[in-house]
Amino acid sequence: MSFNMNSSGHNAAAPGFGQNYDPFADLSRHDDIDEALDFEDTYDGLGDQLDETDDAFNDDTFGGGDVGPSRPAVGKDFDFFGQTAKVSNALDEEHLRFERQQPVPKAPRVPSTQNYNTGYSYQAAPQPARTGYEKYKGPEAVSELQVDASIWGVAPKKTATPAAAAPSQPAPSAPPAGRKMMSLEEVEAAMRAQSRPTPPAQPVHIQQQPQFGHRESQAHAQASPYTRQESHEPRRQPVDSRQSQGVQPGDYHQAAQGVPHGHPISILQRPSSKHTAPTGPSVPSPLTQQHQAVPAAAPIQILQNPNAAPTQILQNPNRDASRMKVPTHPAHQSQNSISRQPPVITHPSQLSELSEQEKAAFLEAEARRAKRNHKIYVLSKDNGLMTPQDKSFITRIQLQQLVSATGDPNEHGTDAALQEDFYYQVLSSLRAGQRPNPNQPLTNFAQTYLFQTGTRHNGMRRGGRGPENHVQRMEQQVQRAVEAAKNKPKNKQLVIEGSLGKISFSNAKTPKPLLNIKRTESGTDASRPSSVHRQHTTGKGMDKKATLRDIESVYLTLMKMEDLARKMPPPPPPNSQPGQDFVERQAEFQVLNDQLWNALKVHEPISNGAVHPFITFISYPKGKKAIPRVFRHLSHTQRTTILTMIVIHLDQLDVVRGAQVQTGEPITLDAASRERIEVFSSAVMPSLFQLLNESELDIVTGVLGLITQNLNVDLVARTRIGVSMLTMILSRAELIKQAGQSNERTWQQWVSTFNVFFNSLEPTLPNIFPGTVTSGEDIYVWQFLAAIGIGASPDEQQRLVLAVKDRVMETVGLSKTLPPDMAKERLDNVNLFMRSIGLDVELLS
Amino acid sequence: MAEVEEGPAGGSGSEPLDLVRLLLDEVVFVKLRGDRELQGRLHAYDSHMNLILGDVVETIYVVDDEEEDDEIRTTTKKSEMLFVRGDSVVLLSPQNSS
Repeated sequence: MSFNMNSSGHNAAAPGFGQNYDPFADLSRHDDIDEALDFEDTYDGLGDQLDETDDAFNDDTFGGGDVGPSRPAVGKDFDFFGQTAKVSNALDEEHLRFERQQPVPKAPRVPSTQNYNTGYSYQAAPQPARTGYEKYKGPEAVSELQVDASIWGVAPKKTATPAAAAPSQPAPSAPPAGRKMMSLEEVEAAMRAQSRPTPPAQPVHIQQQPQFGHRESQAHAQASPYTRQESHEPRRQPVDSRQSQGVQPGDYHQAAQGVPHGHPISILQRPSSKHTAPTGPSVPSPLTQQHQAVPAAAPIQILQNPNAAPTQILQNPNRDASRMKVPTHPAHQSQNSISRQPPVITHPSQLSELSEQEKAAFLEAEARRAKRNHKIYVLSKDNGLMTPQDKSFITRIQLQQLVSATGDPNEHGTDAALQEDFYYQVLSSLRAGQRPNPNQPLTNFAQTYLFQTGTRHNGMRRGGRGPENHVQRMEQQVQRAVEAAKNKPKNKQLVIEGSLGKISFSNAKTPKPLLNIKRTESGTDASRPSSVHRQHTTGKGMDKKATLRDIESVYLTLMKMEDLARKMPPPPPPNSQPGQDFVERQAEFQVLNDQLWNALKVHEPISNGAVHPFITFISYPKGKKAIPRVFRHLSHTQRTTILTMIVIHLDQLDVVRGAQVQTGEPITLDAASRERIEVFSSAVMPSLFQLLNESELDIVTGVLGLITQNLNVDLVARTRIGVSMLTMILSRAELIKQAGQSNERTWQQWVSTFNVFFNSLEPTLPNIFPGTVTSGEDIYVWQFLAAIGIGASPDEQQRLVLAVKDRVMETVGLSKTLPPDMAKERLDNVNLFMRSIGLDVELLS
Repeated sequence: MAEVEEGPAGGSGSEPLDLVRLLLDEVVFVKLRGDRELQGRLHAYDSHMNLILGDVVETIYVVDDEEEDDEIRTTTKKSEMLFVRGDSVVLLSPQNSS
C-alpha cells in the first residue's frame, strides 16, 4: 500500500521524469529516420538542383545543407541526436519489426512526406529544402498540421510537457503506418514530387532571411534551435498524422487554410503568434492555454514548418520574446532546445520563462511542490511500514523473551511461546541443548519443531482475526511473565557441563546460599541434643559447664547486689518508719538474694552417688573466691546452711579429697592441688571462720557432730583443710567456753561430741603430720593439736601427748641442728601444742 | 545492671562470648598469630577478644631454616600478667587443669 502511494506521489511530484522518457521515444523515431538519411542523400542531389536554381541565398541565411556540418553548433546538435540514436537503436529495430507486422496499406504519400520532412530535420542544415517541401506537401501536410495541433492541445493537459507526453503515447502505433510507407521506391517518388515545388519556396525564405539577418549575431545559436525544431518535426508528424485524422476539426480548418495557400498561411500564422504568443497556441488547441502556451506554440510551429516556412518565422518571434526576457544566447539556445525537446530536465522553468509570468509562477510553484513532496517522500520512506498489529506482535515477542528470561521457558507453554517467537525459541532450545540435563532440552527441541508446524499455521490464521486477539495475547503474556517471576525460585541451580559443581542463582528474595548445611532431625539445634547426650554419658563434663554457668550467674547476681547495696539508702533510724524507697530496695534485694541462693545450688538434694552441686561449685577457684562476697549478702541462716553443706561434704571437697598426707612421707600434692588449697584457705576459710565465730556453741557442736558421725575423720584430719576446719571448730568452742557464753547443757553436748571426735581421731593423730620433719609445713597441725589439747580432758591430753610424742621429739631434735632462727620457729610451733597442755618444749630438752 | 529478671546469664550461653565468660578465672589455652601460644588464667576479656591473662606461659615456635632438618625450636616465656590484643587471637580454649 505504502509503496504504491509513494510511487504515485513521486510521479506526480516530478514531472520532469515523464518528459525525459518521452524524448527518448521521439529520438527512437528519429533513428527510424536515419534510414531515411539514405533518401536524404539522394534527395540532397535534388536539393542541390533546387539551390542551383533559386535557393543560393538560402544557404547563406540558413547555412545551407553543405555548410551546416561545418558549424559547430550544428555539429553539437547532431551529436546529441546521434547519441540518443545510438541508445535507441534497439528501439528502432523494434519499431521496424512492429511496422512490418502491421501493414498499413493507406496513405503511402503521407509517410513519404513525413520521411521527407524527417530527412531534413535530421540533417538539420537544409532549411530551404524544408520550405520547398512544405509548399508542395500542402494537402498532405494539412492533415498533419491538424493532427499536430490536436496533439499539442491534448498533451499539455496530461503533463507539464505536452510535447513529450503526447508523442510518446501515440508514437508506438503511429510509426508503423508511416514507415510502412517508407519503401524506397515510394520515397523516391515522393522526393521527386516534392522536389518540383521547391522553387516556389524561395519567397518564404526571403521573408525569413530578413528576420535572420536581424539576428545574424544570434544566427549560430538560432541555427541549432532550428535544426532541433526540425528534428522534432518528424517525431510529431507521424503522431500527428494519426491523431489529426478526426481529432480536432477546428485546427484542421486552420491547417486547411494554410495548406492551399502555402506561403500565405504562414504569413497568417506569424501575426497571430507574434502579437499573441500565448493566444497563438490557443488557436490550434485551446487546451494548450491551460498549461503552457509557449511550448505548445513551438511544437505547433514545428509541425507546421514542413508545410510552410512561415511557421518557422512564427517561431522566431517567440524566440525573440524569450530573448527579450533572457538576453544571453546560450540561455536561449538551451531554452529553445529545451522547450522543443521535452527530455531536458530544466524544461518546466524554461517553459515558464518563455511563457507568461503567471505560468512561470505556476510552474515554479509546481516545482516547489514537487521538491517538497520528494523530501517528504524521502523522509517518510519508512512511514507506515508497521501496522498496529505488527507493533503489538513485536511487543509480544519482547514480552515472551522477558518471560523466558525471568522464568524457565521449559516450564511454560511452548506452543504459545513458539507461536509468538519461533526462532528465538529454537535458538534458546539449541542453547539449552548444551545443558547436561539431556532430556529436557531434547523434548523441548522436539516440541519446538512439532509445535512449529502445528501452531505456526494456527498462529497465522489467528493473526488475521484482528487487533483484539493481540491485546488478549498481550495480557496473557503479562500474566505469564508474572507467573514466571513467581515460579523462578524453583530453578535455583544450573549445572553446566564440565563443571564440578552447581551454579546457584540468587536474587533479592532468595540470596545465593554460601553454605548448604543439611539439618538433621529437628534441625532447630544440632548441638543441643549432642550435649544432652554427652551429659548422660559423661555427667562430669555437663556438670562442669553447668557449674560454670552457675558461677557466672552468681557473679552476675553478686554484681547486681553489690551495685544495689551501694545505692541502698542508709537504714532508717529504729524508731522511724522505713521509707518507701528503702522498702522497695529491700524487696529488690530480696529477689536478688533468692537468685543468688538458687545459683549457689545449696538446696539441691543431697545424693549419695554424685557430688553435690555446691561442692562442685566451690571446687572451682572462682567459686571459692565467690564465697566471701556471697556471704556478705546472705543471711546468717543461709551462711550457716552453707557452712553445714561444706562440713557435711568435707571429705568430698576438692581440697580434701585426694589431698591427704601421710606422716613421714614426702608431700605428693601437685601444684594445682596446693593452689586450690591455698585458694580455699584464703577465700573460704575466713568466711567460715567468721561465721563460726558468730555462731553459738550448739552450732559448733552440731558441726563437729556432723564430721564425727558422717565423715571419715581420718581422711579429713589428714588434710590441711580438714585440720584447719577442725581447728576452727574446736577453737571456737574453746572461745565460747572461755567467754562463758555457753550454758551447761550445750557445753556438755560439746564435751560429749568432742570425746567422740577425739576417740575417732586418736588413731589418726600420728599420721596427720605432712611430710617429714624437715618439711616444715606442719604448723597447722600443731595448731590443731593445741586446739585439741585445750579442750581435751587430762586423760585425753595424755593420750594426745603419747600420739604425737615422736613428732615432738623429732622436731626438737631437728631444731637443734637448724640455725637458731629456724630452730626457734620450729620449737615455737611445737610449743603451741605443748603449752596447750601445760607443758613446754623446754621441759623436753 | 538493674534487670534482675534476666536470669542466670551463665545458663543461656547464647553467644560465643558467653561461653568465654565461663572461662573467666580459668586456665585457658590461647593460640595467637605468629606461631605463638599462651597458657594462663583468663582474668578478663571483651568483645574484641582482648584478653588479660595471669601467670602466662608463652610458647613461640620458630622454624630454623639454617638447620637441615628444619627442626622446630620452641622458646617459652613467662609473664605474671599479660594483655593480649584481640586481633591476634586465633583460638581460645579451656585448659583442662586436673
